[in-house]
Amino acid sequence: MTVPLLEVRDLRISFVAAHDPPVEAVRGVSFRVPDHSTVALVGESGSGKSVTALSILRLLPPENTRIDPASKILWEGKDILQGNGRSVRALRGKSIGTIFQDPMSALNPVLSIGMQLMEPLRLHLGLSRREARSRAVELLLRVGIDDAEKRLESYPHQLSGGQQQRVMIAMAISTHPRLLIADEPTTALDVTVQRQIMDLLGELQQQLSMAILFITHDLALVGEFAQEIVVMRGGEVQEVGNCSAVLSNPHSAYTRALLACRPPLEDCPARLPMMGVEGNLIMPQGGQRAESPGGPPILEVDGVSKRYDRPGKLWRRNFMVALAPVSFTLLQGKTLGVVGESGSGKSTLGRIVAGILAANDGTLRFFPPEGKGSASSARRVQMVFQNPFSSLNPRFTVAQILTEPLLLHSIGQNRGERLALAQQWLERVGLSAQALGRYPHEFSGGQRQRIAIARCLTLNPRILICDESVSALDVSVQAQILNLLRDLQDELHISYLFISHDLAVVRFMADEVLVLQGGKVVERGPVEQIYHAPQHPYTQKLLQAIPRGVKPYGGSLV
Amino acid sequence: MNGLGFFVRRLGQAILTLLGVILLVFVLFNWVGGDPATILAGKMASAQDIANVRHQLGTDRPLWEQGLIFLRQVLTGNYGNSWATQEPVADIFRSRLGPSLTLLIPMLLLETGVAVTVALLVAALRGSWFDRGVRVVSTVAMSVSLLVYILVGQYVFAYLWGWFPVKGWSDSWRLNLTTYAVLPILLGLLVSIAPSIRLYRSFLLEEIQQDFVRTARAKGLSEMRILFVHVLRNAAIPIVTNVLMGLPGLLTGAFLLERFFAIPGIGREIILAVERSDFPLIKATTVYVAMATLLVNFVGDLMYRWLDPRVRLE
Amino acid sequence: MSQPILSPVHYSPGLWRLAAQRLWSDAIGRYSFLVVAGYLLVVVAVLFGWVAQDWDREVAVNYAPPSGWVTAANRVVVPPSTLVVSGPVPLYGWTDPLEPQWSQAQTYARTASREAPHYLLTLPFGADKWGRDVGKKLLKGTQTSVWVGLVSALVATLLGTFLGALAGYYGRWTDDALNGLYGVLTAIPYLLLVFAVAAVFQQKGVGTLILILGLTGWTGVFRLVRAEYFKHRSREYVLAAGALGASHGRRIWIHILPNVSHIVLVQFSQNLVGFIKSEVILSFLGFGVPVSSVSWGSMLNEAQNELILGKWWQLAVTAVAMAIFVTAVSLLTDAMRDALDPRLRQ
Repeated sequence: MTVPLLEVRDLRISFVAAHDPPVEAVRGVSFRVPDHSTVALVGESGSGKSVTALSILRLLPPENTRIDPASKILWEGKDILQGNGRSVRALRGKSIGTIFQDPMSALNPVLSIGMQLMEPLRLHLGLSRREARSRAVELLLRVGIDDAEKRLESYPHQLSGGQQQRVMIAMAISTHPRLLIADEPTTALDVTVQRQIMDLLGELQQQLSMAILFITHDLALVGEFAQEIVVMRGGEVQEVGNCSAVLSNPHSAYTRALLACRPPLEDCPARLPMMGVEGNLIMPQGGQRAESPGGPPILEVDGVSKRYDRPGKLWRRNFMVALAPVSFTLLQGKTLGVVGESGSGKSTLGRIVAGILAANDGTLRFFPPEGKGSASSARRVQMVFQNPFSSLNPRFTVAQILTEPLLLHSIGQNRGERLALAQQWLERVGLSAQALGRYPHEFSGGQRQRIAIARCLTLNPRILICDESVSALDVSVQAQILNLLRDLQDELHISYLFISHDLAVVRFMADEVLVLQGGKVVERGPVEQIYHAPQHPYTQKLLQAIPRGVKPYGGSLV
Repeated sequence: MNGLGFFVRRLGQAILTLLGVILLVFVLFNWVGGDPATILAGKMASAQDIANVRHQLGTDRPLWEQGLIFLRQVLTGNYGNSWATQEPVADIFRSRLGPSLTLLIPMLLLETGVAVTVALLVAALRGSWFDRGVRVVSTVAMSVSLLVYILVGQYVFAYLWGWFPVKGWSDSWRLNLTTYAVLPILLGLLVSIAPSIRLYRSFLLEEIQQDFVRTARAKGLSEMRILFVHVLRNAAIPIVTNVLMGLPGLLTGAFLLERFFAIPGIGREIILAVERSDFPLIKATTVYVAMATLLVNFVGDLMYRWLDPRVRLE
Repeated sequence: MSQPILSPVHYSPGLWRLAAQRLWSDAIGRYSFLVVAGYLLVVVAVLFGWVAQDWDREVAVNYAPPSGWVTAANRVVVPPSTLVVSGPVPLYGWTDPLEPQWSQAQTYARTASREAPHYLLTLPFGADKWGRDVGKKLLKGTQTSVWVGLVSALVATLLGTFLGALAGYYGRWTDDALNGLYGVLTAIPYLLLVFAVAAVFQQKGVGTLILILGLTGWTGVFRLVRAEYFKHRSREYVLAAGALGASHGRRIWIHILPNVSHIVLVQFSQNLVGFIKSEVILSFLGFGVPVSSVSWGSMLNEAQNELILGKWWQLAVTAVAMAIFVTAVSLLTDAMRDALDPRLRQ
């Protein structure tokens, strides 16, 4: 066998902090990237995939990382880790191009696109200013940016996220590198933009015949794009092999579980398979979701809209319409899914219903109407936020977090009673009473989201708004939280307003779906209809953009 | 781009703030400060003497009338005469500006130059013994009082060793700059350099942690180019703003230097005025300096917009 | 609902406790904390009159040098009247080269034994022009300066936090109004503002000093706290508190304040240093503490003239005492910032 382009051999990396013992983030990782191939490095957060990728170009901060001296990263047989600074710099940007997750922060905000694009051309290819400039224009055209001449003078913030990532790609391929490292290149982007960027990368790979090391958490994307796959967990490689072989017939239990717990697009099971502590697969009870007629209406939203002032020229003011008038009815015990890309107004809608944001027009009608004997609307509607790391007050213990709403609404006679209630809800969402004495930072993301849900439940809400509530979580944790939400709905007959950019997740949760684009509702209907017979072109485009590199989950995998 | 809108809004803000300053000064000196006549009339003054002084000063008039007079003074730039020397305040101010600037402009230029250079060095060599050394030295240097620097500096370099004149000033700015202002400038530098280095270092390190630096490294750029082109260009925004904003503070920040070295500048004049309860002079200086501050802030804002494309091209 | 059995819950140490542990485990943090605590002890001891009550008693000859620092130069320091009493003794036209020193030493001995038997010739830290013990003056001066710094930093921090919280949380016209006030106060350079206010207040004293520094010095705290509240008010935990029915007041003071308190604490100690430096300058110029009292500033003022005469000790002890305190507070502030940094806590 010939020498591969890149070979990582027994890579061990640990993080060192001043007062704490070192933490080993990468534990003996080995894999190869053959010439012209696409290798995907896949794993959930904490798997060490990004750290591994950054270590290849020695981009980890030397102050707090230690790479084991026995580790080897071989570039055409020569160890990058042993080379001096100059030899690594010669590889960077010349033989190995890199693109990162968040293009906005990866580009220098105060330098023009042209200047940043010309830097590697002049440095590595020794082009003159004029040559570099004309090459830069070619590159921009090549990555699909129109009006390239003018764009050279632009600054990063003047481009959209997709365009910024195109610029990053142009910069990375400018010197015809033999390897492109793409570290979650589409994670920060909308699904339709993701599709475009991935198509572009595939096309460029063909033209330039370069190898790509593709780091991602999204197996479906990998299935479409990569030839080889490296599945990582906790800093260790779980499985290596041919991509389609691994995805259709995984050997490792972890890969199997990872594949299974992602909600399917084709059908709708009652519960999702889950991943156990050991990375094993736990199959759910019950088959497909049973159809049930909804209860009585619980909320009527009528013509709700929102606009924001924008500072205009001098004294004239102009408005930005965040949400055009929206109307819908939410039935008891049912879920309304709200789908849209960034800027679609879906979060605005959620916050208006939650009462956090005031609408400019329109009305919200709750049933039964507010008055004697029924709880105030503040108690009836609660919200689970996106980021479990910021939605819990870091200075409060879990006991404080859970008893505060009870205290505010005078539920429970005394502290003891309130604590008892808090403990009950905590156990209901799957945490032990011991959690009461801890602070949020002592929990994982999924556990924190459970606490956030328990906090809402303490008030016995009738409506729960979930605004991207599982988007920040890993796939395996997502499945647990989604199942929990479904359990709670069956048991307590809560209605959900489930907002997400993730069509698969909405597919699993919703009975009815609202598709938003640019603040307007473009399509609405029962979930089956939206997913199987979308009418509006935008809905069709959204559905087509979803990566489908993984076969639908079936019993055969188990 | 709405450059004009920004300009007009910012100007309106500055005028409002200036009105606020005028109100504050008026409230302080004509209402809270009340009546310095008893002090100015001397120790053995009769009630008649005090009344006379009051009439002279105009403090016996109703407050609203005093307010109008003050507003007129601000608008015309004629603040009347000093209570202590009877000289017109405008004349005092005009004659004191030159010496102050002779001291302050070189100080500002040197300080910025040296501080930015050292901060760049420290940022380039961060974590090294040099970085740590500079940090320790500047922490200790910052802890010693300005007064001690001046007292000891003047005593040792001028009085004991005679390297510089102990104090004095001449009519020739060239002679001042080469002889009389040297020691004060050096001492002023000694005091202000440490905090500046620390501040600029933190600006630079803040930028070094950004993701775009990682991109620049991934492109294969040298550390020097990253520091001088990518990092410095970003850190220049807070540095320039900081230098500009510190400008008016310097105008009065040299009080002590001017007093110790008998430099007839604005700072020394203010100390004298506070000692003599010379209200017109303090009022005028405060308003003038506030105007200068607002002007500099305004320029700073424009500069900031010019340096930062994110704001410029909004 | 049936009451579940409450199991005993173990409470984790709070974040403040963790921060304190982290501070203590850091050598610089620990030592600087101990030094600052020592100074605070001096403040308390002097305030309660346990030490240095008699700092203004004349206990030594004027300019008595520090112990162990006796040179020819400082033996000359004798009141002129006593010199006349002793007078030079004629010795056949020939003058003993040690004669002046000898006779002065005799005079010293006489004045010490007869005219002022209780006056000391040297003191551990020397004496000032009036023969007062510089050591005791230092204790008293430390108390004055640190006390003024502490109380005015407290006033400024409370004021700045209160206004900054309101401005940052409510925004709109509250912010416009308070920010306008901030703009006015910061349009005037800090020391000039302090001087202007000092010129207006006719009576000198510790109270006036605290008032001047506290009322003019809150702007820095205001700016930072306002920015923090501006950031936090749209954080999800605050939105969640709102959705759960927490009032604005509860969100401001119970939810957000603990999350920005580390910034307030750091600002407090920075103000402490800044105000002490301001107090020293004001008192030095004679706008600060009255003549009947003593602070680091007024000691430096006296030292100014003493230095020309070669009497360096008052200057030295004051400068060193002040430098040690300021260094310790600065290092403690840095260590606190590291210990409290929320980024380290993830």
